[in-house]
Amino acid sequence: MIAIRTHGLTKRFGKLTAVDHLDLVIEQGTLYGLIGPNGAGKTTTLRLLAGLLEPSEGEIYLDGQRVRDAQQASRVIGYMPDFFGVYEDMMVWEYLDFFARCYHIPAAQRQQIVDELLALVDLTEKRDAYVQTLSRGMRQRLCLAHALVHDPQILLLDEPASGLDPRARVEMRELLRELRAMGKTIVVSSHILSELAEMCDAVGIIEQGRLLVSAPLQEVYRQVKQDRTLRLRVLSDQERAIALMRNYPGIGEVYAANGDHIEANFVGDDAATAALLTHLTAQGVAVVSFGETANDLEDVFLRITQGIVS
Amino acid sequence: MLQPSSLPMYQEDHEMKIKLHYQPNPVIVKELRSRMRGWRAFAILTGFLLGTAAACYGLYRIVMATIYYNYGRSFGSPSALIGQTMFGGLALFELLLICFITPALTTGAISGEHDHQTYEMLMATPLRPRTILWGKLVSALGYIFLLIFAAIPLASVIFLFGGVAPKDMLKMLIILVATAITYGMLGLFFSALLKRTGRATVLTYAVILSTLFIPLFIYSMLTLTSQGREPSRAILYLNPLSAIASVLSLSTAFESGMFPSILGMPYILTSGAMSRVWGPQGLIVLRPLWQYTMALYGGLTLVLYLLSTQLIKPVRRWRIGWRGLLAALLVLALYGGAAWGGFRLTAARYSNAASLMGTPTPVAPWIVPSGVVAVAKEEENLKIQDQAQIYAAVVRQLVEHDSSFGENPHFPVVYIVRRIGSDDDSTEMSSELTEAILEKLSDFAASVEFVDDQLQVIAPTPPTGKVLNDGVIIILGDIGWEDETTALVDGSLHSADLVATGRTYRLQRVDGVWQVVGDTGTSWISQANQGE
Repeated sequence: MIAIRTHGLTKRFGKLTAVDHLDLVIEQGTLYGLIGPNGAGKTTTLRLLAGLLEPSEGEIYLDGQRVRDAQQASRVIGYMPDFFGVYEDMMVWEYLDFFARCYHIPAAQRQQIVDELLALVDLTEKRDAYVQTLSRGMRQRLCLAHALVHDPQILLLDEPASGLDPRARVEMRELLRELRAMGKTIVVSSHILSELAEMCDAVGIIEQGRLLVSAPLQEVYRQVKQDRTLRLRVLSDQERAIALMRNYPGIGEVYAANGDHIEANFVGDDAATAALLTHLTAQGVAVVSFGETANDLEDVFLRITQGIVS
Repeated sequence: MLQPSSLPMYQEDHEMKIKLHYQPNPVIVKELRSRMRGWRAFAILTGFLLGTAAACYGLYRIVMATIYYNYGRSFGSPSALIGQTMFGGLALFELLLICFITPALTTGAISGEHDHQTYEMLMATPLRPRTILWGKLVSALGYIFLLIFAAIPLASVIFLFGGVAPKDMLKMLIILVATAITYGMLGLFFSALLKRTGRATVLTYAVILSTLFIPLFIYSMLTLTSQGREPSRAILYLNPLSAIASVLSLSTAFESGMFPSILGMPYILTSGAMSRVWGPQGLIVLRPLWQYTMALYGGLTLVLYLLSTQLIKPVRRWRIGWRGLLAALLVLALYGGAAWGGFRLTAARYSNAASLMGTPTPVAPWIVPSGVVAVAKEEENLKIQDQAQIYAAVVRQLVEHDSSFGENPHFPVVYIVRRIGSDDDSTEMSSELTEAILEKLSDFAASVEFVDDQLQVIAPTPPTGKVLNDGVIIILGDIGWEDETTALVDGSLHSADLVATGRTYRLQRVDGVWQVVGDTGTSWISQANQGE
């Protein structure tokens, strides 16, 4: 089932087109990463989906239903903005209680929901602390919890990990995995690619308001990377190995990487790769290790967005 | 951590429960929780009450000092004067406080959500803009109302001194509350419009200060340049200071200039706010300014409220649908209708001139409201018995209910001045009439005597002597006519030269007997003797 679908979604601010005919399809239960440089239109897209902005053109369908106003969107969507503040003079439980009231949750259930959410985001012992005393990571988790008070099926998280220390980042990632396990559709935007690569099922790459790619992660790699980076180590005579490879068809750039590794760009399928190894050993090169470097989202991103940014 | 199955799945049924359970506005709950937390709210309240108490005491000392300086110890009872001065001083003190506190509480209400970056989170919830606006308004005003109402017990010290009617106190409260609501709404409007607390605060204060001082400035400039011509009172309609002054103006200590001189207040504050002016046919009672102010403030608040509900929205801020527009116009039309109806219903109180004080004093014609008709003296057409009934009823009303000394005070003697009307055009009551009045008052607790002149029974220490024998003096006016069945009579009760109360009574024949059915809604308290 498709949780989010947009059709020709466009948002203009004066002359600037922030989002340009976006056709987004996100399956239910996926953790979708929206990648793009700063100013690419990620935040605008999320705000459009949350009903905080009105599209200049195009339609949004949530759970198959056309969204016409913010009220309608607010019931199925939990939204966590990229920059958010907290109210002063408010305790952690009151903060969640306030948003639970905003969603018209009856008093009988409110208490229970607040406690469950605090447990979920691991803030139970901060229940009676003032919100402004929380650390950045805790606030981020609290903000995530606030987006969950009405148990939305769709979560829109704008840069949920920005500004977090590595530990808090790992915690946030764990939390998102857990939410996905609950069957929620989660859209996460980020310009930090590594954190998305580790957890997303699917990614969309957006630049200058246009969606360049949107597919499951593996498919993206396959689509984009026709060539691969090979990484090998030889026992001795590195120079000769490099020279040999330079002359091999399909090999692009070859260079000595850190230490005694050699890296090379190679266009060819698995059979061609195997043939290359055979060729090297046949020529008497003592190959210690031979392999392909892990797929790198950053690399993919750079390739896709190449030219447009510069 | 939770298992997926234990997360509450209540989405379906909570929709139904919304209708069944009343829930308080979340914004009010949140705002009040954080506002009333800690020491700040209570420190402000305490400071406010201490300030009010200090102002009361200060005013008391100032009045006493002024009286001793001007009159020495020969001044009779200054009690009413103290009461009135305190009343006026407190009203202005609280009004100014409201003008300065209200913006501080409201200009950050909407823009603060932008500043703190909580606005989007709020907007992503199903809360409707008007719920948010209403919550912000109620919680901010709730605190101001707390201040105003907490000062009431303190302000009731005024009643210990007397000189102020509870009705006047009520009017003052209405003005304070309405001003707080209007200025609060103004702050919210600018907050929603500008989205920046700093700018909203500056603009709100600018508008408030302009409504406070620009009308007074224009009015006084026009007064100075037009050589005695009274400028249109409409200039002052929006000014809350003039509204307060118009409540106070009904007590003549204020009107006679004593009050401003004590407080060091400029005369311009009071000159335009007078509700009783001399017309060609005598004293005209104009609709007090504050009623116009309240009607305008109500309309202004409504308009600002409707605009703000639109401005608070994240999208389509300036696009108003025809349905919204129609609803807004309907609300405004209903309000306008109600206000117009209220003015129409009470028009009779003000548009008729009553021949209260006898001689017409020449006055610029533009003051006289249209619809004022000269009322012929028709008491000749009344039988002596009718006149006696009317005057006796007025005397009873004054002594037993309106003396401002409480119910049934026991004055041993009631002196009724035989002369009717003011000095220049006074007539003496016939002996036939005085006897008839005495007969009607035969069951009266106090002994009743007629005197030729009030000076006969005032202790000979002018100008503030007490009435001899702890009695009271009653001065009656001519019988005028509001319409064919309603007589108007001016009556006043003096317990000392400066301690007096007066009203214009309405009388109608009920079951064949003339009875007081009300007054014209205006009264004055403590007037220096007309005869001086």
